[in-house]
Amino acid sequence: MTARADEEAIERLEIQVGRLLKAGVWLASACLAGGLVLWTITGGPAATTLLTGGLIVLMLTPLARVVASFVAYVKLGDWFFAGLTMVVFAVLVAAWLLKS
Amino acid sequence: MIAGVIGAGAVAGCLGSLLGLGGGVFLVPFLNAGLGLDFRVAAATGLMTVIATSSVVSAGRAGRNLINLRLGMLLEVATTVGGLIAAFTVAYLSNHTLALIFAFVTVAIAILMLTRLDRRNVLDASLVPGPLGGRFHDEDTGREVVYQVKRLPLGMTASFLAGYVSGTLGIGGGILKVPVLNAWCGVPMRAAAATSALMIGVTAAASAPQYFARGEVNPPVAAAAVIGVLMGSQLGFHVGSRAPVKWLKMLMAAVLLAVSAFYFVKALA
Repeated sequence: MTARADEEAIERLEIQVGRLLKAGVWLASACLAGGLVLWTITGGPAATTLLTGGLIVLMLTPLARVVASFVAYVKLGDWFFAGLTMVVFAVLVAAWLLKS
Repeated sequence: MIAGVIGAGAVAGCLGSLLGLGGGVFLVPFLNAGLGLDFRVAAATGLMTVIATSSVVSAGRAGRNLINLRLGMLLEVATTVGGLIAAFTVAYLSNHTLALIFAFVTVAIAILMLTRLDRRNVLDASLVPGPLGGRFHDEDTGREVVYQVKRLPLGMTASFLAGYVSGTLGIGGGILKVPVLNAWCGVPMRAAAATSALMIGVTAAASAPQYFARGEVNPPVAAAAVIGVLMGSQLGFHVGSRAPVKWLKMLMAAVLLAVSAFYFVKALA
C-alpha cells in the first residue's frame, strides 16, 4: 500500500471513529437525561435502569472505538498497530473483569 | 442537589472547553468539598464526564488530521495501564493521601496553565513524518504542518503518569501530558491537544469500571454531571473566540491554587 493511500485510509478511520463516538455519547446522554427526569419525578427501578444503562453505554464507547480501530488496522495490514490496539483492548476488558 | 450538580457540571464544562482542560479538575473538588461526597464518588463522577467530553471533542475534530491516531494508540497503552493500576490502588489510599495527591496535582496544573510552552516544532513540508509523525493544515497560519515524534520513552512515561493521576483523581490528565508531548516530543500544540483529548476517554474507560463495580458511582449524580458538562462545553465552544482566555486562565490558576491550599490543609489536618 502506498503512503498516500495509507494516509487517506487513516483519515477515513478518523471520521468513522468520530461518528462512532458521537453516536455513543448521544445514546448515553439520551438514557441519562431520560433517567434523570424519571428519577426526579418518580424514582424507582425504571429510573435506575436507565441511569445505569446510560453510564454503561458511556463507558463502552471508548471500547467500541478501540475495536473499530483494530478492524481498520487489520484491513490496512498494519500488524504492529493492530497488535497495539489489541493490548489496549485487553487492558480495557481487564478493567471490567478483574476484581479489586 | 441534582440541579446543583448539573449547574456545577455546566460551569466546569464551559471553563474546560475555554481553557482546553477537561473540566474535571474543577468539578471533582466541588463535588467532594462543596457537596460533601466521598472523594472516590467525586472521582468516579469526574471519570464519567471525562469520557463524555473526550468523545464529543474528538468527534468534533475528526477529519482534520489533527488527531494522531497511531501516536494516540501507542500512548494509550501507557495511559490505560496507568489508569487501571490507579483504579485498583485508589481503594487502598487514605483520604489524607488522596487530598495530598490532589493538592500537588492542582498546584502543578496551575503552574502549567500559567507557563504553557508552545515551541513551534514545524518542519519543512517536504519532510517524511515517519510512522508516528503527522501532517495537518494549520488554520491560523494557513500552512501545512509536518512533524516527527521524538523521545518516545519520555512521552510514554508522561502518559503513564497522566493515566495514573486520571484514574486516581477522576480528572482527564491531559494538561499533564500535552506540555511534555509539545515541549520534548516534537508534537505541535494543536496536534498534541487533539490527540490527548481522544486519549483521555479511553484512559478513563480503563478505570471507571472498577469504581462502578465497587459501587462508587452514584448514578443520578454522575448523570447530572455528564449532562451538565456536555451542555457547558457546548456553551464554551460557542463563546470560545470572544472570551478573554488569558484573564480566565489567570483567574482559574488562582482558583486552582486556592483549591490546592484547601486540600493541603485537609491532608495535614
